[in-house]
Formats: sequence, structure tokens, C-alpha cells
Amino acid sequence: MASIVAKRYALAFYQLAEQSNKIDAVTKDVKQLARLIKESEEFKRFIDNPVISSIKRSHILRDLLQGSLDELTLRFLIFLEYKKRFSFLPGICACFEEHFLQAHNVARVVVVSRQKLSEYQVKNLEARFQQKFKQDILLEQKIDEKLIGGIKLQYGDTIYDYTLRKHLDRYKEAVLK
Amino acid sequence: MNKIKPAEISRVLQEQLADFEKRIETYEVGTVLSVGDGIARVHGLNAIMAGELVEFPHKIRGMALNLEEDNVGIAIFGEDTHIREGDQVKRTKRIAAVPVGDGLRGRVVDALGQTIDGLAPIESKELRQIEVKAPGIIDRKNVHEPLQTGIKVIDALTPIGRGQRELILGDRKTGKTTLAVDTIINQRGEGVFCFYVAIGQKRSTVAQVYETLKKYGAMEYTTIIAATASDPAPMQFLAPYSATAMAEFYRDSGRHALIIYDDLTKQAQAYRQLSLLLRRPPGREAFPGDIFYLHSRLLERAAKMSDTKGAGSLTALPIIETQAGDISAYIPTNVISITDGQIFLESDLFNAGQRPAINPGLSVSRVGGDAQIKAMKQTAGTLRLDLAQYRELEAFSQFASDLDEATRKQLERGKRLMQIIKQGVHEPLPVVKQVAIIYAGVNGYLDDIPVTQIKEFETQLLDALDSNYTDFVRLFNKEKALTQPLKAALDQLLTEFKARFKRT
Repeated sequence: MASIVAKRYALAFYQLAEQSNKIDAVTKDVKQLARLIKESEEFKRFIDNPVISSIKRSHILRDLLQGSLDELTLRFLIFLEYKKRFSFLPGICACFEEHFLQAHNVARVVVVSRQKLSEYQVKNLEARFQQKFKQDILLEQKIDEKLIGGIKLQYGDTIYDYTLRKHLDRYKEAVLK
Repeated sequence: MNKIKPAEISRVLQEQLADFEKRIETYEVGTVLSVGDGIARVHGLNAIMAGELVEFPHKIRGMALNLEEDNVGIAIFGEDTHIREGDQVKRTKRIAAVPVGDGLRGRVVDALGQTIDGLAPIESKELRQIEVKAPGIIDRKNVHEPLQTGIKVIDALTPIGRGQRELILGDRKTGKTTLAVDTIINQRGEGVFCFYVAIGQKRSTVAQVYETLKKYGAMEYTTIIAATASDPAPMQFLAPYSATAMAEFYRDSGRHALIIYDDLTKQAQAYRQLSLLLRRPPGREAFPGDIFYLHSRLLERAAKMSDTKGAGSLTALPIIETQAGDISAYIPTNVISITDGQIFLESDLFNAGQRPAINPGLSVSRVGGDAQIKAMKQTAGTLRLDLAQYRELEAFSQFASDLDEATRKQLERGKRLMQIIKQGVHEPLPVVKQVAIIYAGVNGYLDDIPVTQIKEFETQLLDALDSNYTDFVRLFNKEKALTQPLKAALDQLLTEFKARFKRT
């Protein structure tokens, strides 16, 4: 869960992007940033390194990201730095994406399985969920070897568990009783 | 022994698992944001109810206490060291409940109703919610049957009725627990089911109480609910409520129950810890704002039910420990104002050898008078007055050496009465014996017996009631009131016995 600060900034940024009709470009930028944070250890360290001065960080940001990001996103980043809230960037990105999904009536569904699902399976699942939840679906895949077999889905707070692991657990409980 | 047949086993297993179809299991979850000091903050769990049980990994249970905008504060009933950030928390969709029923008799259980005496788990058909509302006004009746504690001074001066709430308060080491245990022992054969709730006590103390009760055969009708000092604060906070839920089973099925909370000071402290960790704002003595409600909603559940509701009752004896005799501290004043009276124990009296160390001046029973049997009411009427006058005179008799005859007599009488209300540990007395000895004291039969011999006189009189005067005892138990012939019989009995006592 993101902090309240991240939520506020994300909402403001989202509304601003919407007003200036740049929502698609900005969303793409945010996704890119999120991926950057996830994949580049150096960028992550750069975000909350207290040794780097504010001015220097702004310069680095400009040099690093100019051209690859929309002007609005870049301005937002520098504004964040100016407000000394740059370390909240990962949370802001996450919240921004949530806003985007909500606004477009897209539900996030996490699918956990033992092996990577085939494209055909993913498509099928997506179609089924769309029907069931009456929402567009953003499917996220996760691999967990402990499940042994079957799949587990998380939609919001609810988990639909159809794994071999769960069956075995329940079997064990029933026998012990 | 029968031989185990593999075919048999597989058949049983197959039968058991026939309805075990492969179905999708759905459950709602949240993730742990932070954990520490027995409290977990959890994100998610959107539809959770207040007071709902949740399950952490490793089968650790918890209860949702704070429902906030973006997280839920959960009290953990177990080791919080096994829980990590990001762990999944499962809803159970059940409000906290405990097993109730006759299976609990003679057992020692924890705040969630699980056995901790090393014997078989409790088999119970019924579960009851821990937090329920107290019975309504129409469902109740005024307290009218006595609950004999077997302790002379309590039954005479501050009688307790079934369905009453009588507070026992005093400093440490003044005999509060002993008083409560004696009361339980005296319920033998009275059809009263007893519950002893140990909150924040040493395990050795609880073991001692268990042994005592067992020794006197009282475990047959007693359940001990223990949340000891080493148990997490949420368990200590919960124990009185779950015990009350267990006791309410008897109240609602037309039977009688007695519950002892030993002690509520510790419960208040556990709740204070919990509240502060949940960041609820602190008030006086850092207790949270609802500390009064914590105790009032608990003690309101003690009640005498109306005839249409089965006429059962639940009597509560909460115990409060004071600091240096200060009954005007926060928790004592709260509980005094909630209960129907209090029994105040003083360490000065205790150390002076006056045991039980009950202060007759500060102890009252607001409703018990109606519940006292008639004979006791007739006898004890003047006892309170005599004692009060004695205490007043005693203070100033130490200055004046020559007193007038009336005052001297009053003092002598008082001294003997103070001897009479002394009583040994774990020696509860039946009401007929109590009446006999108090009657003797109040009506001057003891005035010419030296103070040092009063104890001896009492012992012999009580023995005599068991052997020589069984006719009187039988008559008394039938009448339960000092009618003219009974009074005459008692007078005659005492004169006769005294003459014999003086000769020896």
C-alpha cells in the first residue's frame, strides 16, 4: 500500500494529465518509470540517495530522461524533487496506474500457477473474467512452485483457489478430523 | 485388541471423503503492512466486520479491532514473531466465539476456549459469541435468592444475591482471591456452576487455585479460564468476555452460575496496552476513553432472569486490586459505580490478625438485603450497628482510662463481635452455624466469656451443632426464619451449651 503522500501526488498528477489531454502519453511514461525502478538497481539508489543535491538531481533527471519522456512528466519529476518528495516516486507510479485502471474500468487479476500459462490459456482466462466481472481485465502472471498444480486467482481482496496444494491441505484436515 | 484391517480403513476414509469434491475455494485476504507488540496492521480485508476473527500463516489467530480508512488494526492471539510483512491474512467470516456447555466443567481453558490442562479437547455442540448484549430490562427480575458465600461477615453484613455483582477490592495480599475461592468451595451441592477467570496472574498462582479447588471437590462444578501474565495482552483483554459467554449458557438455560474475575485491574491494563498500540487517544492514567464501557458492558451481563426466561442467574464477583488502599483511583471508582456493592479488604486489619480483613464500614451490598434469608436478617440487624459503635468508641477509649458502665459494656461486646467475624481459610460455614454464633454474640451470650476463649467457644458450639443439636439444625433449615419456637430453642440451646462450656 502506498503512503498518503503518494496517493495525493498521484491523483493530482493524473488529473493534470487528464486536463491537458496527455493521459495516454503520460501513462506510458509512468509505466516506463515503474519498469525502470524495478529493473535498474542504480536508478532505485539514485531516487533516495541523500548525498545527491537537489539541483544536481534535477540536472541528472533532465539529461537522463529528456527526449524519452513527455514534457509534462519531466516537469512533474522536477517538481517532486523541488518539493523533496522524490523518494515517493515508486508509490506514486503504483497509485497512478491504479487510477488509470479505475478510470478505464479495468480490473487487475493476478494469476498464480506452477508453470507459465500458454497464450491460449491466458486469452481464455481473460475472456472468462470479462464475462464474470463485467470489466476489462489486466492479467498479471506469477509463478509459485509450491502450488504443485492448478491455478490461484486474486481479484481485489478475494482469492479463488483451485490448486493442488489447497486440495491436499483440505484433504489433510478432513482426514485428521 | 482387534486386528487392524486395511480394507476397513480405506472404506472409512472413502466414506469420509465422499463429499470432499474438488471445488474452488474462495476466501478474502489482506496483506500485513506492519507487525509488532501483538498488533498487526493489515491492508485489504475490505468487507471485514469489527471483532471478526482472522487467520495469519502458521494458524495464528487474530481479531479485527480497528477498522480504518485504508487499513485494519488486528490484535494477534499468539506469537507475533512468526508473522512477517507481506504475509497473507485470511478472513474467517466469524465473530469471535467460544465453545460452551457442560463439557467445560472441571476444565482449564484459555481465552479462546482451547484446553490448556493437557487433557482431551472440549467436545461441544454449541458455540457462543464472546461479545453479546446484556439481557434487556423485561427479561430480568430483581435479585431475591441468596448466594451463600459461607463467610460469616459477608453473609451477615453484605449479603450477595444470585444475579448480583459484588466487587471485592483491596490491596495486594489482603485475601481477595481466598475470599473468592472460599465462595466457590461453598457452592458445593447448591447447583451453582462456577467460573474462575485468572487474568494476568502468575501461572503458579493459577495452579495453586486449581489444586485448592480440586482438594475441596470444587472442580466438579468449576471451570478455570486462564490468561496468565505470559499470554499476549489481547488474550488477557478477551478472557473475561469469553468466560462470561460460557457462564451465560447456564444463565440462559435456567440454571445458576457464578463468575469470578481475578482481577479486572489487570484486564484494564491489558486493554490500555492494546489501545495505546492501536493509537487510540489516551485519557486519564493513559487509559482509553472507553475503559468505563469495557467494564460496564461486561458486568451488565450478570443478571437474574425473569420466570419466562427460565429464572436462571449469573452472579459476578469482580476483583480489583487497589494501590495503598486508594479506592478513589480511576479503575476502582469506575467498577464501584458499576457494581451493586463492594467488599473492601484492608491490609491494616489483615496484619492485625482480623481475617477475613473486611472493613464493615466501607463494605456495602445494595441489593443483597432482599436476598438474605429471614433468620440472618433478624440476627444480623444489630451486628452492623454494634460494630460501627465499637469502632467509634475504640478510637477514643485509648485516651480515657475511666469509662462509664454503658461504654465499657459496648466495648466488651464489640471486642467479642470482632472475634466472631474472624474465620479460617477455606472453612465456609453453612448458614445455620453462622446464625447460631452471631446470635450468641449479638444477644450477649458471650459477654462473660473472656475474649481469648471466644474462638474455642465457637469451635465447640459448631461441633455441638453437628452432634448434639441436629434437631435444631433440621428445624432451622425447614423454617429459614427465627420464629418464636425456633428462637426459644436457640436461646435454650445456647444457655445449655454455655453452662457446659464454663464447667470445662
